[in-house]
Amino acid sequence: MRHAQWFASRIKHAFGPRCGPIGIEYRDGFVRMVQVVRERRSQIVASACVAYDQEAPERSIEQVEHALRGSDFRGRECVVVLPFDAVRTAIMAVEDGSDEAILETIRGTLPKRFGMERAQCDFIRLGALEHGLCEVTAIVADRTRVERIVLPLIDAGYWPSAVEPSFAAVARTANRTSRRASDRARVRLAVDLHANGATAMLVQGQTILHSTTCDRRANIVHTIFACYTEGQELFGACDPMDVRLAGTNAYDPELVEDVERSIGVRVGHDDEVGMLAAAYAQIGVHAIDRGGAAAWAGAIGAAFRPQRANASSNTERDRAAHALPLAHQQESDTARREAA
Amino acid sequence: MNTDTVNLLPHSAAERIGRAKRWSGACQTALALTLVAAGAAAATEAGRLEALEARDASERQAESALARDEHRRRLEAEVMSLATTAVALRRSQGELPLESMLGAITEALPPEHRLERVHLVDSGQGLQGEIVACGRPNAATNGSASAISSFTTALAAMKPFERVAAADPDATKPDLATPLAYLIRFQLPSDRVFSVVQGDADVNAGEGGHDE
Repeated sequence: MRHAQWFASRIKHAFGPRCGPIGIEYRDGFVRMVQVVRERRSQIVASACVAYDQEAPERSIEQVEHALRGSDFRGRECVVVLPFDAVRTAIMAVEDGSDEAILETIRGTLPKRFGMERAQCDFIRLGALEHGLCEVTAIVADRTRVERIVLPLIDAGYWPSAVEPSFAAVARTANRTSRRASDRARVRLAVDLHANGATAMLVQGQTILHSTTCDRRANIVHTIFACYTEGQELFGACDPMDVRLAGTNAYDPELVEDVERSIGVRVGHDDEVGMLAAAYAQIGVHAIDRGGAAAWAGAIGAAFRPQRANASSNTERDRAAHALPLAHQQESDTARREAA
Repeated sequence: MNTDTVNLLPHSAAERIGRAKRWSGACQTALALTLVAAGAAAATEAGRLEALEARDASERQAESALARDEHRRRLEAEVMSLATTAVALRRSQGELPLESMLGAITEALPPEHRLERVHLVDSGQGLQGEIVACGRPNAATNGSASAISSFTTALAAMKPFERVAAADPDATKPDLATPLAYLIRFQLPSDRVFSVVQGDADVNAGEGGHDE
């Protein structure tokens, strides 16, 4: 039956427009799924929204699978955005070396700090610092939890080409109109809001200069303010032209007012061309979805993720890391620290 | 590393996806090869069917030509046969002594009787004849025999009439005074040359007369 569905999907996909991956975002108890046309990204192919109960993940996965098959999604490729509480991040200033060296540093320090036995690590380079240092956002996820989300999708016949934190997807949505050379100097503050925390990113063009994260709702405004001031301190005069709020709470008037009052920058929810509103108009209001257009920013950002042949960028690094014995890794970490 | 390259996909999941992709690719390749093979087989079969149809068409054309030739030959043979028959019939009719036969019949016909028709039929074993005449059986005759019996006896005594007999025995009764039509059959000798090759030869007598 699955092969027949796959074959029907392939036939349908072969005659339809070329589509990007299915963006699947786990956010605040909901799973939002959306797919866009590859050439015309403002055109939505299909969308769905189901509830996600962490207490009964199997049942939720069934609903996700049912929603994926029941809607008009095409193909098997998908990009999964992890729940906010499944990912821990830390801002680190590391030597501006190779990706492998930075990743080794992250693997050697953060999983222990966060108490994760099986950790999946990666990082995003932020702005360059002085003295040969660079700032990175180290990302650590509980591998067991990632597998609990990803493996049922693979069992259902879907191929997650990437698993990413939600702020990366939101940053991609916020940076969509900053690809041109004339827009690369523009600075904005993109904020990924969740029910129990937020990630604020100072974005210049396509690059995240600085980011801050909090895991309490009460600290959201403070986190945004911290990102703003730290960015000013680290990178000089880079006043953001606006603040983009994404997430279920993005339309909270008190939050908007507090943010505008704290940093004195206009708060918005969409880009200059109104891409998010146009996409949400095509998505429509799903029965259980109450977040509005800003709540779909992460799913749309995941659907915008460019597909590469080696999209699983850290897979090779993981393989190499798994090939090394743990004692050898610890020795190499010790030697590197001593050398530093 | 940036937002487009960050990836937390575990290695085990990536391996499973790789296996699934390889399996899917193999299935697609197998499906494509199957479709190509099926297409090639269909094309070959179509070519074979086309060749067979062309061969059948040529055979049908040849058979049609043969049939036309056969038909033409048969028609020519029939025409020849008809011509031969016509010649033989003319020859037979020429050799058949119709005039003398009719003369003998009219001579033996009882008075007051009228000859209706003399009919000759080739039965394959010989030439048979029928005389249809009309008259009263008790017409003036010699003694107690009826006129029809006298007519039959007179014909049987003459050549080439053989096996002369009335078709209806009741017609030979001498006491019948009402006129009736009667039939007398006779045979011509089979060893003689007068035989009709095809069809029959009718000799019609005119109204009230004794013509051929």
